[in-house]
Amino acid sequence: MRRPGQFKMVLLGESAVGKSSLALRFAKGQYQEHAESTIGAAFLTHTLQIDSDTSLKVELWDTAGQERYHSLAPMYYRGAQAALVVYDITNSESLRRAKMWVKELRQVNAGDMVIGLAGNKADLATGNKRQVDTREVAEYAEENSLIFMETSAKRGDNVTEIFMNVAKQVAAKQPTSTLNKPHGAFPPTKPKQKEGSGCCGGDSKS
Amino acid sequence: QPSTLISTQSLPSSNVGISTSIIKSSSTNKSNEKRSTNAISALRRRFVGGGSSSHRRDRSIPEDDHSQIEQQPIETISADDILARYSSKGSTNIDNGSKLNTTADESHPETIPVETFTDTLPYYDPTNLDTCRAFIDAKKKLRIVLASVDTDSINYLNSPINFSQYLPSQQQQNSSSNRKSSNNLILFLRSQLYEAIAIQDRDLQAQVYETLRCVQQFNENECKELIRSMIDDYRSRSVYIAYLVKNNENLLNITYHQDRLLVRIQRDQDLCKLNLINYLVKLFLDCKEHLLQKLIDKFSHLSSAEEKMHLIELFLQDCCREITSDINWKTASPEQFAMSQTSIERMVMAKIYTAALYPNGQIDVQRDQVFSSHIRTLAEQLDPNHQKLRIQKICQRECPWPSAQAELRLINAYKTPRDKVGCVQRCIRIIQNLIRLASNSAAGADDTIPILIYVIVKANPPNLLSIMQYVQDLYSSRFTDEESYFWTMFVSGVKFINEMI
Repeated sequence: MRRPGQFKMVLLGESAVGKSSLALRFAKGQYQEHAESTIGAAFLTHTLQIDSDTSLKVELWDTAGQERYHSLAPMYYRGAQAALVVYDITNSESLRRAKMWVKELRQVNAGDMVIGLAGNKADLATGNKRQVDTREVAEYAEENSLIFMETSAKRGDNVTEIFMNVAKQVAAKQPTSTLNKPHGAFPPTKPKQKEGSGCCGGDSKS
Repeated sequence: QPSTLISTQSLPSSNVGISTSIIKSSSTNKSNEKRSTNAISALRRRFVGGGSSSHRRDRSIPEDDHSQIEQQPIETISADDILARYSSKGSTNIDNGSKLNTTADESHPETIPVETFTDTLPYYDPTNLDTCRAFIDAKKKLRIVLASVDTDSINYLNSPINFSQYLPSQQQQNSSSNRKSSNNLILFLRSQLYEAIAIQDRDLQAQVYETLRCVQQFNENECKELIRSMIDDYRSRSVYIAYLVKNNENLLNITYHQDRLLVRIQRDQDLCKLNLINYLVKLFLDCKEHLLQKLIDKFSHLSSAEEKMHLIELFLQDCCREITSDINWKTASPEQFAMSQTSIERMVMAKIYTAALYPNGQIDVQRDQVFSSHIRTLAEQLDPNHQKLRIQKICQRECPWPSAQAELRLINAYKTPRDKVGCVQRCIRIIQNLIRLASNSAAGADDTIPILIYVIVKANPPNLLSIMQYVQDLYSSRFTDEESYFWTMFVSGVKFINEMI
């Protein structure tokens, strides 16, 4: 039996599309309103049994989805082996943002990163609330080699499935030896940039 | 238990199913009686001497009206008094010539006054049913068995399904060939027996089987009489049961209180341990003063962060190795050595703190001061609705999150990078806790980030830029997953503030 490895997965998407709800449902099996024991859903981990001899621990890094915090995202997705981009099927604007995230991730990581695309709030699909056509997004996902599913954090539809599919692809992409690294999440390139921005900010005003 | 008390008041005694369920509760209480009285006397021994807290607790709980005993302060009566009182109450029933003259005998199996002369009486006597030994015997066994049965099956008995058709035919033949009819009580017991067999509970199996055998001696009317007698027993004890329920509640309160005290004592113990370790580590490091001095010299001459980190790690490793051969640490446990590592790290880092925090000396200090003064200016005009924050209305009632600010202001009190990260982590956790309180949902990054930014600006801890550099240089390779995330969150917040200025 191999030692369990782990990988980092960043959650991206417009605010209020249900990023942390999906994470909470996946990691704790709970939905927001009933998750009385869970205080924070920004950082969660969960171990997935990929097959009989491989288990993978997923670290879920939530990000702030508001447009004004867009510039902070690179700090979060740096070093991530996977990303889940989330949009809300009742909000076409959120899909536009999601496509932006996919584009950005592909530019930065040049296809190394496994990306999942989740159309959340599928429980609201009935009635005329739906604004995003499933087939259209499926085609888009196909073109960009994304793992696409419509999910419902509220009902639990497709939640484990999409995380599992992403994890399987991560496992397939990387030899287990690299997955076993315990703290590979923080890149050494970071301090220079931090210092740079800090200094400039301070100096420019002085 | 309180619900069983209510059910005694409105009792449809004709229905065997419901009656048995009540008797069941009565017998459960019976076993609880014993347990609680034991606990009461044990507790009295412990508390009545100086336990003023238990006394106060008893009074603070609303008293039960229909229980006379409850009106008296608890320390004036002992559990034995209560038992004595109720055993005499039982015997008055006999004096009154009521049919319940077996109650005393029943409720206190340790006193067996009737046994001696009933030996001469016939075992089964239909004319003198409720005094004959078969009756008393059956009642006793029923009570024990009913204490551990599954009440759900009572519903099956009341349902229109013909229950007996599911029973094995051999048993049916036995019961029909028996001179007594198979009534609901027997059906019920038999269903319990099959269930005990099904779950392989051999003790219960033996008890139910024996009870069934005893009860089968009686005809339907006699069975009803048996149940009625048990209900009467139960009623005669209801005041006592109420008293026990109340006491049980008190005991739970006291147990909870004790647990809290234990936690507090545990905390004191941990602090004592920590102080002892710190003292011994200090003694150990005092002998290494010259080495520490060398370390500080070397450290300030290194320029790259990696070299610095390497130097510190080597020094800490050396210390941790050498301490195992120190005379004071000869008998230390692995736990104490683990604690010593943290302690050594804290003390060594405190020694090189200034050199490590400001690698470029005055330049760094000035940079921090400039940044801090900008934040101060920003803080004056920042409110939760600032266009760069737009904190959700629902989360604004906790503004300005003073507890999170207070935590963050402590960051300079911690010297090791690990402790600084822990401080940031606690600050974010406080924010998330308050979001959880306000919005009733687990806090995600969408809600946390704007508030964190607000808190950092308002708390404005000095040396912010140097602290970030310090942690990054000396600790980033040792981050745990969680530390890594929360530190990123903090750093991203500071970066955002930097862009706002």
